[in-house]
Amino acid sequence: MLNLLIKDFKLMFSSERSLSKRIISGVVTVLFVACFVVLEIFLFSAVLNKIKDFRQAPEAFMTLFLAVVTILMIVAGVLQAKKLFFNEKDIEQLTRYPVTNSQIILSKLIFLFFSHYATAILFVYPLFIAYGQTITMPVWFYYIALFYPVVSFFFEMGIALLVVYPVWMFSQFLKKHLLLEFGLAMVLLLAGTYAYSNILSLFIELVANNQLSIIFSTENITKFVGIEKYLFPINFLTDVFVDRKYGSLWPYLSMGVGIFSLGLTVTIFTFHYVRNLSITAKSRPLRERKVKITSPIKALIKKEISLLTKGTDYIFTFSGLLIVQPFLLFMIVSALNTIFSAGLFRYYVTVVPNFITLIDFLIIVMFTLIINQGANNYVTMEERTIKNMKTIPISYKTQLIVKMMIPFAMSFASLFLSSIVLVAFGAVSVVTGIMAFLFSTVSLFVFDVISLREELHIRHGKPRTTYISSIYSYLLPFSYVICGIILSYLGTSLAAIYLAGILLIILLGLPHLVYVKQNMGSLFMDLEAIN
Amino acid sequence: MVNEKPATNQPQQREVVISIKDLHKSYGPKEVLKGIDLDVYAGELFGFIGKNGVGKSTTIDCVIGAKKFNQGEITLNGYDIIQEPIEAKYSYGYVASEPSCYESMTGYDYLEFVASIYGITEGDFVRNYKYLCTRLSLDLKELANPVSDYSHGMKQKLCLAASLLHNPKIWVLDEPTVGLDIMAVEELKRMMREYANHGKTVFVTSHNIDLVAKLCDRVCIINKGKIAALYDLNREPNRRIQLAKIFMDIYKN
Repeated sequence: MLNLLIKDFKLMFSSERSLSKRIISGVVTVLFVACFVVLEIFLFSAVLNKIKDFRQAPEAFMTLFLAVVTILMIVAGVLQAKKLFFNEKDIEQLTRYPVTNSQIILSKLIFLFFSHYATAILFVYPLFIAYGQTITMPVWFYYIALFYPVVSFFFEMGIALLVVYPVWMFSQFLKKHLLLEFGLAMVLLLAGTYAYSNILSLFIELVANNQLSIIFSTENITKFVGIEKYLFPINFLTDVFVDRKYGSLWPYLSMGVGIFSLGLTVTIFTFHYVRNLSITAKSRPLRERKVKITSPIKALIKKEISLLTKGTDYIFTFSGLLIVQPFLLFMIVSALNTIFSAGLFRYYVTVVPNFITLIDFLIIVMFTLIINQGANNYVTMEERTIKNMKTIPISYKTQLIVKMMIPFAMSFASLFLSSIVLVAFGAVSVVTGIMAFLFSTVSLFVFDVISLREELHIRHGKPRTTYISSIYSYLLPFSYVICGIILSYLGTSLAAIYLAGILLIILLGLPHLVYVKQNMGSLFMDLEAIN
Repeated sequence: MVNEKPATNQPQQREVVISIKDLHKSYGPKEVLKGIDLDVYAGELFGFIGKNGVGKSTTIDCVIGAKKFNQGEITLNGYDIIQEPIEAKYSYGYVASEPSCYESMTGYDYLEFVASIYGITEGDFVRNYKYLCTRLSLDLKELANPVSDYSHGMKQKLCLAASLLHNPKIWVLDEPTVGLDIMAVEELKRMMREYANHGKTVFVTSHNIDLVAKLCDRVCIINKGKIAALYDLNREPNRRIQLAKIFMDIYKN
């Protein structure tokens, strides 16, 4: 069973990347988590300092933060349990080994417990420390907080186990209904954008009118304390770990263990079912359909679109974001304009002319490039079908141009629409709109050429190195705008800054274009099919 | 044992469909192919065999234009694979040892894609795909499902059907029986034989010596990047019976 446990750890954390890249990725993850924890403590401490004199208010806020963490832990638990219990390849592998279902399930539960403990302690313990420091709690408080993840495991993972099978079934269903998957992705993205716009508007209103203090009025805090009793069953945990009311432990534990037992029973049955029965889809009836033989180019375009829409990843990171790009860009640019036109910012902005304009420009360019990044894995997405590309009677040039032009054309269309929306609704001036559109179009093309160059250099099944494309998509626009701001401060006209930028990106992109044009054939032939 | 008894007395009138001349290929400093010379004729079922790592797949990859080579000349149906790659690629249908079809498509979409690429007419497409799928026992209803749902064998059958949709002059098969059930293997053997009987060329590699010995008209054994033996099994029936032994002897020496 220990071997099964080790296997799950390896499956969850191992990757095909080199040691240096794993270290970099590890450092980035640690930094990201550290930033999240710092932000969490900062927000929590700031709120606690403002409300600590109100009776029951610190406990209520602690309950609220714990409730948020609980929801996040349940979502993470569902995803992890899905990966652990319903990984088709893992199930297939395990059927060949002399291990029982009980051994498999127990090893996966142990894994789930440890990963839950590690994640929970990472996000919950800092809250306890911040609370203890602000309210001046005794030593026992810090000690028993270490047991919080153990107690919360049953309730949180119980719910996760209860819903993991329906979630897996739903994901399987969506895989077979691309249009529905796309529609759902759109609904989620639009809902997220709408929620984001409301929060942003509220925040901007509060910042612009200097009204942040009204949130912590006596009336609001009293209302909030009243909400705590509805944050069931997290308020039981606050009773146990903050107020030392240990009597609340038993109802919470009883409920948690009950839900966990139910969830575990459902998971055991469904795991057994999936392991022993075929997980492949049933045949759909073959409907008579019109034969659609098209021209080779149309067939290639169709193939590229099918590759681009094959997985949830591409739908969320590319197609979906392209559709919401005009709306999202308009909101962010408008929000930035409002923030920089209010309070102290207004003074700074008048010192540096065109500051807001250039920041808007940067946002448009970076948004366009980052969204396009989700679709320019031209070679990676082919996997073992590279050999098909090499054996079909279509020139490699035509194939690679089609590959590059599809995401480019989609990004271009979204950029064009975004520019019209931004100019039409007055978020940016006509000149900035046109220049940002031109600069982004040229950058997009250069970025796609560089991405193609990087993709054509993939060897031995290793992932693509993205150093140059990252410099072009992040560092270059950022550095250009910084230089633009300095030049603007020194009195250079905005038109000159824009034209210099477009010229700069063309000059920097040309060597890559020449390199790809000259070496495309040779690099293409050196590509290996992944078996 | 090198070129134990090459079949040199080929009739002059036979049409050379695959011609490999002085083929050299290196991976960095390692020379994998050290001068392969081979002619394969129309209407023959040609077996290309060798143990793992002797350059079998590299030769095939060079022949189909999937890999560059350092020196030599390859022509398919008279077209140079380097100078006229598109024309050369129209001449063959290729089946890899591992199925390589687009998993995001349905089986039907994949066949339509291949038909569109080769410019097959709608009438020919309908006739060919139905015939091929029936021959390979690939349930037509399954074609409506995504390829990702197919078993390994079904994917391989789909690739086999796709490779013949445009009725190519040359059929190149690299380990085609991997993952196929015994009935499918038997049907595939029949199809290969029929294809060659219709004047087309079948170029096949396999680790299954028995399959090659029973089925092929000529067989070539490759060792250390060179052709170690080339036999006309129709003219030398004893070689057919002894092929497994000859194969073992070549690698023992």
